[in-house]
Amino acid sequence: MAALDQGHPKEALSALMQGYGDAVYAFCHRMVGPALVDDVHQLTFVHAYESLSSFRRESSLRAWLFGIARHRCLDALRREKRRPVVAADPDHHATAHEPLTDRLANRQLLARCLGTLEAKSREAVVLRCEQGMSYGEMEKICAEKAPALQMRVARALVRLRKCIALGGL
Amino acid sequence: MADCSRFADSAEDLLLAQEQGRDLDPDLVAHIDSCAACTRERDQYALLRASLDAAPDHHRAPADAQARIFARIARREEDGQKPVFRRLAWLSAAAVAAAAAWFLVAAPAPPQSIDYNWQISGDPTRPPIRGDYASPGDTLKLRATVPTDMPGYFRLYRGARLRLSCGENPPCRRSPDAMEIDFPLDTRGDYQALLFTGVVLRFEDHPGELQSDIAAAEAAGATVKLSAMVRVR
Repeated sequence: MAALDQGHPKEALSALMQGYGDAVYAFCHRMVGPALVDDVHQLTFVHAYESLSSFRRESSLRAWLFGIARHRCLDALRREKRRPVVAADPDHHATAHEPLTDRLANRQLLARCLGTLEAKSREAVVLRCEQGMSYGEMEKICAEKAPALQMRVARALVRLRKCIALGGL
Repeated sequence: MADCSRFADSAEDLLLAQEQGRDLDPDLVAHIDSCAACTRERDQYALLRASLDAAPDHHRAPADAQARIFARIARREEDGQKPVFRRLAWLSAAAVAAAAAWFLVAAPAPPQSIDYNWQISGDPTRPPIRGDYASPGDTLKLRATVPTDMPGYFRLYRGARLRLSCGENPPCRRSPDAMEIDFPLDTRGDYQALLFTGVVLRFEDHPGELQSDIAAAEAAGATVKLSAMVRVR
């Protein structure tokens, strides 16, 4: 935030992108899928740039930025009224014969099963398990209380495992 | 012991305890450690967590993402500096609306179509629109063309929490083809308005949280329209 304090918002944005660009991209990819991710990712940082002066440091920069990304993702999903489209899995049929331990490590299968979760469950499990967020940060991002988010993550993990065990069906 | 499903049966509770940082029942822990089926199940969840933990590395922002973002910002700034056209539009609108505070620009809608507008009205001596920003004391004006026989509801949220909801009755105003509301933006925060149309909604089923309300309304078959975020600073 030093660049922002010194009145250099574009430098501040550049630092934000270097610090969190990949993490936000990964989050958006999970939330909206490959077709929309580039647009949503760009919009996130455009809105962050336009809102930098209103960042009140009540939350971490990361939580603030992911909060913007989350809104952009949900807006995009509402516009498209669809769940993320996961790239076709060339090994789809092979997975049915894989041991479960191998399936659990299969990224394509994991992506497909994440895509079957509702947006709120998906965002909770992605923020917690992929992005390593604390529940304190997640409360700020999702505007919900930790117990609700904890319950959502636990339920989502059970559903994910079940989906993966069934080969993504 | 091979058919034991104790872990599987209570997986959600066990995972919740883990998320909450709670200690598990020592008897259960001892059972899991000694039960092959439960140990296997526990290890599978650990593997799932490890797979998720490693996943973000597989999706990285494109190399030109930063350049594209700055180009997009430049385009928006350029658009925001079309001064003559934009100011003339505002001045003419201000002249028309001088006595009546603010009129919304709503094109007549064909039958059964929904047109939804939101606008901020404030001190007439200064431009009323600053992107999606407003100041305490401004008014958020919502207007929708909704056919007479179609149910419609406005719901306004601050920080994703419900602040106001109305349909046929005040503070909503219903005319033959439209519904309107003026909402004073007294408190700083991020506001968003929703318009639900098409079906009669039972709002006791709506928890009053933005995303949940949208989901409940869509599940009930309503058409949902969302305003831009209005940031009151």
